[in-house]
Amino acid sequence: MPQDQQVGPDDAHLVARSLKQDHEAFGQLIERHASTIVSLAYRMVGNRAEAEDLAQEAFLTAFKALSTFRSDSKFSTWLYRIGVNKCKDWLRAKRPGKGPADLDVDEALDTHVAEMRTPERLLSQQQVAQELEQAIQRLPPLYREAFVLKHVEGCSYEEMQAVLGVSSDTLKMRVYKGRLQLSRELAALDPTQ
Amino acid sequence: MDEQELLIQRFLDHDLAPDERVTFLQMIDADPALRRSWLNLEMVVAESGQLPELPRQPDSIASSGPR
Repeated sequence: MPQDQQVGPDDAHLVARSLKQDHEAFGQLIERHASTIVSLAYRMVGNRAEAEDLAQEAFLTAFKALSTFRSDSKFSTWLYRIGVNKCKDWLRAKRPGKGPADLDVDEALDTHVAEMRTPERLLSQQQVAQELEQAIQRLPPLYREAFVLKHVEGCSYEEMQAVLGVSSDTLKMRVYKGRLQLSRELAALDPTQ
Repeated sequence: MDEQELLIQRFLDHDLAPDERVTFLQMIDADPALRRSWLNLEMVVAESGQLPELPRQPDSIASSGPR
């Protein structure tokens, strides 16, 4: 995922240092992107342990293939692609005999990743972040607290339930509605929709 | 919230079983409107994870939540 809010050296600088065998620089890249890649893998394979293994494999592949990375593209996009491919390989191996269905999943994922990475979307990342912050503040308080805990603070529903004393099902519905309102507000800003 | 919206939300929360996940991916491949809805929600989730700490709101319980 794009890292427009990142602190410290940018990805390109860290990649350049990594290419000179600076392992600490690559470690910073891992730290910066690990949660996104694990989350992507978890969403695709549905198993946290497998997701962490796949993310680790993705970083290892990225490190080995770093010399092939083209500096005119975003490192996060390149890494995301490696992560998606790792998950596709895993799905293919775990779901043998699925035939066309397996192929459909691959094609669907390719299409969606490509759509998420259009130049128009990447160029507007900073604006989207600003609009999103404002839109979060406009959410009804109950939706806002649930959404912020879930997606900004990174809490699980179990942790949220402990903090807020509200059932997990109720919290999910508040998060759902918060996400839906935010997505509609952001979609309204996109002239292509 | 209709059934399709609920399905997207469950996908975002990793709540779908493996077969449901495959079915969902095939559905969004076949339905551009559903795919667009999913992408918009994915963007909200992805962007939110990159936000810096938000200004705390006095009326939000989250203002006293854990970091």
